[in-house]
Amino acid sequence: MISPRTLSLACLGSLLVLGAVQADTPRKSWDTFRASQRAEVASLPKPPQPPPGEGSALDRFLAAYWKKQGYTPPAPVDERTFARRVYFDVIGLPPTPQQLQGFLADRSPDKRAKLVDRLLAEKEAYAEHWMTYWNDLLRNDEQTNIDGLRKPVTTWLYPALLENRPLDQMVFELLNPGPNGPDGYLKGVNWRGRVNASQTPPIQAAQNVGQVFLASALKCASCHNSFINKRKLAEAYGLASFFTPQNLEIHRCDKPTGVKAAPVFLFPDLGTVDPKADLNTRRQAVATMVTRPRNPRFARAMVNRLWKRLLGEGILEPADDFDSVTLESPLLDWLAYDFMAHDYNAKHMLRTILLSRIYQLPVPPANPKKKTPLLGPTERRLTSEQYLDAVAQLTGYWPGGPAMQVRVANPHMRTWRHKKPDALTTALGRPNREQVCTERSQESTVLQALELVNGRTLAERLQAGAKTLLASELGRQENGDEVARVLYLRALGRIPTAEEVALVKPLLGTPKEKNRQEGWEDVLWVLVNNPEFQFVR
Amino acid sequence: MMHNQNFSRRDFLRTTGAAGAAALLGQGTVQAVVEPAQPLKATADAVIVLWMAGGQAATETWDMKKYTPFERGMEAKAVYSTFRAIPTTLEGLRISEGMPHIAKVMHLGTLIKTFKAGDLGFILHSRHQYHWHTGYVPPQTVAAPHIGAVISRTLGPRHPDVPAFIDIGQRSAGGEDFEVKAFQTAGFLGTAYGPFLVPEPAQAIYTVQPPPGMSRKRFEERRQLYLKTLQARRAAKGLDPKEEEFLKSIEGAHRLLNSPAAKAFDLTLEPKESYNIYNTGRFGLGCLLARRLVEAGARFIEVTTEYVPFLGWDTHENGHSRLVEMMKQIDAPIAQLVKDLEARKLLSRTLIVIASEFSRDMLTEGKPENPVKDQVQVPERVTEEKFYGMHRHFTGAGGVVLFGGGIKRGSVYGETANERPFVTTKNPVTISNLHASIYRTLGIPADLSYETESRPFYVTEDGKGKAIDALFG
Repeated sequence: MISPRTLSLACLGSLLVLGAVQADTPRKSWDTFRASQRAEVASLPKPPQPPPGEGSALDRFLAAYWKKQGYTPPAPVDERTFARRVYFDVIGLPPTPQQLQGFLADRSPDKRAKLVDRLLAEKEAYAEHWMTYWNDLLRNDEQTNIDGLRKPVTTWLYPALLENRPLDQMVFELLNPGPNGPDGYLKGVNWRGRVNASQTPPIQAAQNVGQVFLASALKCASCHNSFINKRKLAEAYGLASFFTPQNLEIHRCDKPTGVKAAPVFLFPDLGTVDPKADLNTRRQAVATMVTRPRNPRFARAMVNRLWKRLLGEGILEPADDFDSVTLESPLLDWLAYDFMAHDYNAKHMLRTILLSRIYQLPVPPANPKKKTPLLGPTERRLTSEQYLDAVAQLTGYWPGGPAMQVRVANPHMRTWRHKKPDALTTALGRPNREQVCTERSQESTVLQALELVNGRTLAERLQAGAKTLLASELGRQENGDEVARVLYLRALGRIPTAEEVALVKPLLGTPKEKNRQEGWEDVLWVLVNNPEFQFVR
Repeated sequence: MMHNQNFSRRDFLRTTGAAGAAALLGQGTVQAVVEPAQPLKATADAVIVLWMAGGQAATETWDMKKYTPFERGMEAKAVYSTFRAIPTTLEGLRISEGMPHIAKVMHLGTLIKTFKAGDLGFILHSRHQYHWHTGYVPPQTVAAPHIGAVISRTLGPRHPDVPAFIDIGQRSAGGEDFEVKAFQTAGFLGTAYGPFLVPEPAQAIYTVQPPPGMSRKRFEERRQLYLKTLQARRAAKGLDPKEEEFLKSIEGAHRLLNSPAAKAFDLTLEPKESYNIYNTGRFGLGCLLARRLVEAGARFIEVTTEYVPFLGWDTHENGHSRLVEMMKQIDAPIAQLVKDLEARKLLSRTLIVIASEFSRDMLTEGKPENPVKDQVQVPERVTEEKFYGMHRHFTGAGGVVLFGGGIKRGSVYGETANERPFVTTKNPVTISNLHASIYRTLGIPADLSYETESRPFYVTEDGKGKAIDALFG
């Protein structure tokens, strides 16, 4: 078990080594960073070992847990369901019928691993999909920039995801951006004018770093001693003081207390910095303390986040605040160690989880009365981005968008994701990113349904989509059964039932008929509003 | 989760349930039934906010000072009101000559002369608008909900087929679009609580009709096809709770679109004569839509003159001539809205609020005691007509007009100086207290809170808003 208590002060020495690293330094310095991170991992106590048994370490931890709960997990989901899950989770798109067919036809025993590896290797598609998640976490938007008070980090984020930059390095760069790094992150969200003491850029940085990277909720403690966890006002200011050249005066509920804060990390035994240090030194110090392997929170928080993204609930909840719970999880500790031992490689961790037994279980039946965690994945609503991408992939019509700040591999494809929210995407849960968003809303509401049922945006996409389809090879297909089969495969990843074919065929018509546009639009609408389309199960 | 000692969730469920049942029975408006230990009696069921976006100069509209006609070369500090004051139906009150119709309904309302906008430092319209609409100054650690979303969350829809929070008239706010969207939202309360957006009131019917080009027949056939394709699977193994919830939302949308209440959105059903009175443009038609929606059972509606930087009430130059146009836009429709609701006996249970994020002045930016950086060049002498008008952003006193909903009929609250600076001299009104007063008309306590991220978020800042007794009749 790794805990701050078990840490020795001996690790302070490595601060000096890391002190030389800047975000915009050349590769050689990152090699030094990596070497130092690896050395520190090697010095850590070994994590708890999984119980003996079959399968991966992850599977064995859970098998023991399930046994204790008296739970016998059902058989894994079928291959179609698995394929749909991993396609959406890794690249944010459903499999095409060809891709699905290829996977189903594969006879090799490790076909699921091969599929996961192939998807993780699709660099552009992976980066385009995961941009959404990271934009939410970093509240990055290509938004209005009044008086230079905000700055997107898109041009940094996209390449970082494209090359699968190690998460420790990414966070190090965010916290110590240097002159050429992603400095928009620490600028924060600013409106012109006076700001409450609990919302100045350094305090915002402390709140966001605390919540996202350290699973420590500090919003409450930025105003007064927290009543939702054990954090004190002084601790929030201690962390904030790393992000400002002056030592901040502590304000309680927006009133000055006369007490000056000094930079003190949330886990003080991870290092110190001279209270007179300049801004660069402070940022370097905090970047080091957040990302260093001896900080058990960072790896655990990030692994838990990735787990939650794929399975719907974290190993530990609330995922944004470990300070409010006194839970221990040997599983999470083991995974966090494994993550560190693999150079904080997000794709390695995703692969581990995607190939686990729990990920491949069917969604357990809802049991609101007695909720036992970790019995399988939860059913997840598609994000607005996944949903509209899936609509586009179904029809072949990809709406253009304004050029974004980075050039993506398929500029005709997913640039719309970077547009500001509109009525449809907002209704489907796209946040406006004034605040960090670690979890999209899952709810179905009438206001949302109104956008789906009669909203202009979706109607226009389905009109253009039907037109595109009719002009394609599918539009010339004379066999109506085959058209229905392809559309169902594209939309839902399965073959339609005879009844479904009989229902949609009259609307699809044949190539000899004119005016098939409306019928095809209606079939498309029926498909994209099918609950099977809306959810990943 | 909702917290207030006098106001339990059960009370609200009863309220909403009663409203829904009564609506099904075809009864008229329904009172909130709240019976806490110390009852807060609701005096209104619905609220209409008429938003004067961009900063409406009070001294040109509601709170007239000495009339100073344009003279080339006059000193800027010599310019007081650029409009004449005319008498109103409220004895002793004179308002701008630009609003002769509203002058005839002032006996039905209360004018607050002393709304003091927040001291936010540097002026940013969208930031003050955020403050006005949520009661909180951005940035905030959590997404603060719009007052309409709080009301929607707390009281629910008045009629099950009319969205509880409807926002009319705001399209894109150009360079401040992100900022406007940041408060035009239900925030952490969740998208279920609005807003239902009607950016173009003239096309409101399209928001509750099948998509363009789709007949009702085809729309219904599409729905039937949809249900049939799901039927087989539903019969075989049933849908899970999330899928059922989704299907329910789709059916809810269809029900709303097919309900008789949806006709309220169709302005072509309005008698021509009435339509023409309202039709001064987008804002006027928005007022007409608001009236029809309140009749149909809407809970909270905002109609905006629309915020676009440097347009509308955001006069950085040509203040006088621009305000001639703006007052033409709002005068007849607002007066007609008040008269129509009164004639239909709805005004007593409908609160109308005319408000703006702050006022304007010729000279002072911010407040005299709290000036902020100048953003508008105002020359010492008015050498051209374009300099004649109120071009700076003034937060020392501003006008808010309230009609109906239990608010006093024929009253003025607060006093301002008659010499520059035209500041509040008696009874200042903060946004917290104004919100508390609006909430009180609906029976909602100012210290009601909702839980987010494990902590309470109050409907007025820190739960400290105090309703202003003197406003109530």
